[in-house]
Amino acid sequence: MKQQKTLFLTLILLLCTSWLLAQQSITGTVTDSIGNRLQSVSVLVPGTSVGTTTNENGNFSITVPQGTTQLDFSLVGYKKQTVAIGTKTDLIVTMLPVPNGLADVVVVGYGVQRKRDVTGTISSVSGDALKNIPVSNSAQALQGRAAGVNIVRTDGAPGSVPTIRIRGTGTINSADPLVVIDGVPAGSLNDVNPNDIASIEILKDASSSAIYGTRAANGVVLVTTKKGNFGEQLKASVNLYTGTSKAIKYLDLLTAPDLAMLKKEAYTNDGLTVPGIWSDPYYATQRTDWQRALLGTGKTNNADVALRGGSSNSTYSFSGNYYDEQGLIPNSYFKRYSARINSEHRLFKIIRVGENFLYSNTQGNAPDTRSTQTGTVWSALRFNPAIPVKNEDGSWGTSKADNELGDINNPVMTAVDPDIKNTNNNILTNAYIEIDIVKGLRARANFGYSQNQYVGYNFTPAEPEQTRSITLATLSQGEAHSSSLLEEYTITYNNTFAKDHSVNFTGGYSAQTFKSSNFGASRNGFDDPSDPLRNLNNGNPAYQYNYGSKGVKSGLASYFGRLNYSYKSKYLLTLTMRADGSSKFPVNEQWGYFPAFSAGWRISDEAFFKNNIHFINDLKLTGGWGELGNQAVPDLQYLAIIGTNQNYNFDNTPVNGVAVTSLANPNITWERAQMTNISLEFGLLQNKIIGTLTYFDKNTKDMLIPYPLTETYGIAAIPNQNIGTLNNRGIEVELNYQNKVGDFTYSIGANASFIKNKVTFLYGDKDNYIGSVLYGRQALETSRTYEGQPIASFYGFKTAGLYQNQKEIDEDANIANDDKTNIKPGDVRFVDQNNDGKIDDQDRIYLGNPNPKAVFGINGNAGYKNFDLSFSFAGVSGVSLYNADRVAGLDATGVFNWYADQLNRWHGEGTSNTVPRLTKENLHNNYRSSDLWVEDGSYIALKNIALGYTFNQLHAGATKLPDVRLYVSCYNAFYITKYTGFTPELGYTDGNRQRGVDVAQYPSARTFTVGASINF
Amino acid sequence: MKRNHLIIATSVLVFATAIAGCIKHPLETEPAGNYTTQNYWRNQTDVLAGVAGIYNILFQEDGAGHGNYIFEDQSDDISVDGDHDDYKAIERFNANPTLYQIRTTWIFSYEQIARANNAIIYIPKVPVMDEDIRTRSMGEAYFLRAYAYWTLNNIYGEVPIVLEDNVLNGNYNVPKNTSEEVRAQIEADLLKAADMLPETYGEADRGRVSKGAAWGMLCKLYMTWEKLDKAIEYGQKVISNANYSLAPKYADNFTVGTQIDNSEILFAIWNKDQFNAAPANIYFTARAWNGWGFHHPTENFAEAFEPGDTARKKATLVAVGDSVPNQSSLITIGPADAYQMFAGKEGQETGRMLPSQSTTGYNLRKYTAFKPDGSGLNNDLKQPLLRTADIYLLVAEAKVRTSGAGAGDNEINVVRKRAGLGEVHGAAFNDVVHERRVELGGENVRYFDLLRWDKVQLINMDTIVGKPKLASPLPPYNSSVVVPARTFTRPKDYYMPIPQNVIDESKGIITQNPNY
Repeated sequence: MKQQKTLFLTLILLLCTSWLLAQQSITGTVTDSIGNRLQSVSVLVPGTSVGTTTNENGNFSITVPQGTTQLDFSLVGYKKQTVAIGTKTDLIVTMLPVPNGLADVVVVGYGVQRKRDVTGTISSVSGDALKNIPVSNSAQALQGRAAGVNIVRTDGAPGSVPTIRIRGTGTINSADPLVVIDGVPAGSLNDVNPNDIASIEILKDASSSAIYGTRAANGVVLVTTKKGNFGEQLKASVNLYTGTSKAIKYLDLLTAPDLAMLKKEAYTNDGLTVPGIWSDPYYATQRTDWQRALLGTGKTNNADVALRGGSSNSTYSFSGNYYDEQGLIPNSYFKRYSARINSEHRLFKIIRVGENFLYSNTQGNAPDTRSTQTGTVWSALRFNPAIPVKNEDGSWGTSKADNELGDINNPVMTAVDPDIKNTNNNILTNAYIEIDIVKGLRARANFGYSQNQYVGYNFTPAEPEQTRSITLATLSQGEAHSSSLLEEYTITYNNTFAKDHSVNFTGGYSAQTFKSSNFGASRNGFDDPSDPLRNLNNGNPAYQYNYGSKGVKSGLASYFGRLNYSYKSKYLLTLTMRADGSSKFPVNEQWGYFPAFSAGWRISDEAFFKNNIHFINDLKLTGGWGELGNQAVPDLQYLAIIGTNQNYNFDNTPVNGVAVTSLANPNITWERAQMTNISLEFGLLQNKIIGTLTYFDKNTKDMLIPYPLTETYGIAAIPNQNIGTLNNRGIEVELNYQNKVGDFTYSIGANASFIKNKVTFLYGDKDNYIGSVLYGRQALETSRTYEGQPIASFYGFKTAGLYQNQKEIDEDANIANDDKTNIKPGDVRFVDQNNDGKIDDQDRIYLGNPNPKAVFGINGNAGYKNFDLSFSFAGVSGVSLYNADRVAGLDATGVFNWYADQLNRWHGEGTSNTVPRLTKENLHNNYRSSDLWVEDGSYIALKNIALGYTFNQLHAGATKLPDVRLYVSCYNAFYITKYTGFTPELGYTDGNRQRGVDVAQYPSARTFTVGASINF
Repeated sequence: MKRNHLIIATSVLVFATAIAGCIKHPLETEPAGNYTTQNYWRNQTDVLAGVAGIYNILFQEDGAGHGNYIFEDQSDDISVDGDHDDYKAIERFNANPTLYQIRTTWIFSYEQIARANNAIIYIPKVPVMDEDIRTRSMGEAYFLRAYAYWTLNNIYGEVPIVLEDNVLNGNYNVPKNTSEEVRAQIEADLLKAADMLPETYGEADRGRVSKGAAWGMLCKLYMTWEKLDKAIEYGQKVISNANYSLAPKYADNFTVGTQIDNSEILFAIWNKDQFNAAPANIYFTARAWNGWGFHHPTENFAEAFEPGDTARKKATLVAVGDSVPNQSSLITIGPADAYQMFAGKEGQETGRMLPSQSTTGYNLRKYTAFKPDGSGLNNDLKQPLLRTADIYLLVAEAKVRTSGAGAGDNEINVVRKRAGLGEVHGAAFNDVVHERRVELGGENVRYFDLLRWDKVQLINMDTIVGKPKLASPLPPYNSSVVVPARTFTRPKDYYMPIPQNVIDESKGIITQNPNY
């Protein structure tokens, strides 16, 4: 919650009329950092009693003695500052708030607000916390920084975009929060250099996010980038770092001799003939550790430069960034070149115009690490260890020799061979004008534009010698464009009546439109695959494919208003209303109304409290309720879509045919979330300890779910219907402690959220559910969403060890009425749930929750003289993970390499109770979905630790050198977890329908960096 | 003063912009890039495409294209082979509501109905188009809707009737209608179709349904409905019309090249090579010949042909040792093949049918064709769904049943004559049964004939399915039993079960058929 505005001072427009007069008259205006004129600011000539205060318009006039070169400005809640007069007689002074002080402000929707007056729940993360962490996406650096904000890593691939979940998963559909960058609800965090970010505010409760209406149901993330300051000398800063990364963990796999031995056992157990290959000494010779062959050393390099400063009427900020991350897997990378220009200009004191402009170019390739046919990590875990990476003749090692080696390709080849470059060119920009019409009344117009151009290039050479042979080289190229246009007009009115009644109103209109299109083409069969000839025209036109489509243009229009009222800053009230129209819905369903209110009581300002309780400096109770919307659903569901290519043949001549391929839901509308929020903010021991304790209860209504129509409609796709309900509720805690002992300053923050997710209504029964993708060769059904359970819960059979002998099978009540002929000692004992003495599909039950019960973070900073140390832990607990890869790693029917754990298989009474006997026939289906594969996914990770030393006051001869901070840091330093897979951070694998399933995702890397920050 | 003016001027400018807005009508969006029912059905081109889309569903592999032929395997003519357990369950009267084929026949029929319903809703609203084509297109939609309900009624009996209003209101969860009501609906649609469709088409429109097809379907409907007089009335319209006369040769109906200009084929699936997959060709042709070999005609069927009925038998069956024109795969004669003409020839190669290509000694010939250049199956082969010969024999049946033996001689003899057989005189009901079986073998007719005759006790299904399905008497088959005697349970086996999904999703509105 600590809000540290890095904005700096100020100043000085001065027209000196005469040096020679004994006294001079100086006038000026004092504002806060957002341009509000400040009354009652004390203006004093240092060391004298000559002084005045600003009037209600923030203006002052003072006559100072000759020789006065400075003035002191002070006001409760603001940092005291001394301003050099120079030669000016008309000053503009900007006062900066004391962090967590009376005047500290926080960015809110369509404005900023004094932090102490906020009645909603907003987490604020300063840009300093995100700085110089070797990640491509600043959301990754947010991990463990704010309570109720769960940053779920997608995987470890360079450039992978993490999923942000604010206060749980709010819907089975898109549950991503709205990201607003410098006031424009568009763009991606991947485009923003984390070092350019001044602060990120996360609007969590309904009252603070309701002003974003239909897009706020999943929370709102406001990103504010760094700007220059008025009257600030040009400052330049350079950040350089370089890092290397290695896999954090490798799995234990069988070596070739052990594998051959166990393969023989599997066949022998079933009385089958052992294929000759397993007696061939060649395949009992260890040649390759495929994990280490695939996962090499990654590199990260970052360089950015920023120039920031301002004159009395203009501020400017230029920054440029180069970021280059090479992943562990060869050929996987993410590069970003970005440039940002922010500026603001004042005209006549009452008009401000400004702009923010970002251009970024990103390039990257993330190999497939999801497929169980071609996934590179999956293949590395399965590929036979007797096969060399490359044969002696330089060709790639292949599994083609025998079916027993599996139908997969050499994973190193799969990674190295293709030439893939996915380029994104992005522009995100806005321009605004603000006018102070009369005191307290300000009008603002804001125009935003964002554009993305995607260019894809993929050349895959022919590899006829691989088992999944690629017979022809393929070149595919494609382009996609998307853009959005925003206009916004707001009015704010700010006034205090009768001294104690303070009113702030913000109201406005906003409209935004979105467009997209794409096209692409591919050809096969390039005779000469060399780079210069990789030209679509050189491919074989007989094998060509092309496509193109134009997305639906969609639009939003909104009217919104927010009223803040405060009585003596002690009793606070916020009312918000937004009317939102969305083109995604039919005309009579387009408009929705989203109200919210919240109230606050600053208990610590009450006399009874102040006079009796001294160790609590600040205590504020807030509470609120509101309704939010989610319109992130597919377009055009209210219309029946007519699909082409439903052709027929008349007179032996094909004719075009069409048919309705998707039915209409004429009543489709947005999902709604109603949220109650109660929060207690406190400051203890002179605000050395500040903290927040929040309870929330969020009910999602009208959740769009696939609703089965009676199949008398045919085969068309059926639209979703607004039927489901979902509940997330929980507690959030944020605590920060800071102190200073001599030269030693330190702070430590901890945050945690405890959230319970439950689907409260789907189909009104216990039989129907929302399924998700099946895993791999086993077609393993891992996750189902049922009414009454958390979203995407794990599902399957309960087990009770392995049968150790025939007697146990004969006497097992679970299978009393079942056919036992296919069950042998060493097979899994599944538990009969419905007591019918049979194991069948009816015995499958809930096996675990992939949504963590608790998400937490601990962050610390310490400084001693020129040394600084910072660290950041993140973790989750009360979570299950489904280790589907372990199924593939043990399933003895698989013609692949296995986990080393297979050595601990059952092979006689008492040898194992967890790893089934080896069987090729697998008649008992030991590897079906069961709790054997569900593991505890709790972890705590040291996400980042950095140690730095700052050299200042450096001189080279007579020249003063810039301050230089040198540091070393480690990202993903360690994980403490019981989870046995690569990483407990598994992310989502089928939208929100499947989470925490290990499909051999791109593993996380540990990155060591050294860096330098130079400030001129 | 000057400054105030500027402020006011600027403010006015900002607010003027605000009121005007630079984004006009943000909520008005066109469904760009997509056709919808809102922006389609604009003109004749759209109508033609919409109607082609109804026909398109006939290509469905698991529907009319092949899946619906499975129900014929419940008769005594054909036995199922291959790895589809649902086919075998249906063949042995063990169907249950969760079988794959039980669902697919249902959903593709209703999809055809949905497409027809859309056409019937929107074609009248198209402002300007050739009125003849509008009328014809409506007729095609009515015909194809009727054909889908005909399929549903034959297979499932009582089914829900879903019409235009259901589409407009999105109301698909409606209870089953009685068979009587379904047949009345089919009748109404076919009568409209018969009214609206032309008798013949120009070359460019060959393959569309005609008046004759509608009359023919009406004849079939009335026979199933036991309205024999009406069956004769509409059957006569077909057989008395020169536009629908029999093809010169029986095999013309099943031979690429003699199908498209064939007056006898009233309604067919117009497959085209390199365009659609022609699933029947693949499913009925032996694996060794690049098909999948799912259906093997029985000896019961093969021995039903009269000794002189070679033209029809040759066009209907491929027996061990037979060859098929342009079949170019040479197969090595294995130990299991070295019988009959292949005795002692093990290890040699042949393009003729080998014993290993069938469990019975036969494959069905009607849906097998190969390309002249030797490049495999010829998917230009059409699949006739309704032929004039069928109508001749239905009229004959109706006449025999209403006026006694001999009343249908004329119609039977037209069919026999074309087959190169001698005339019959005083033909009785059993002669019609025989004639229909050999004339229409493998065309998804026999089993539905047996069903309707059993229902009115003209035959006893028990005596037919109570006999095992046998293989050829020749080695290596030696009359072995391929499917043992089966039990037909009434009324259960008159109809298939309603798909379980439909029962579940309807939440009690649609009830299961008796005894499932």
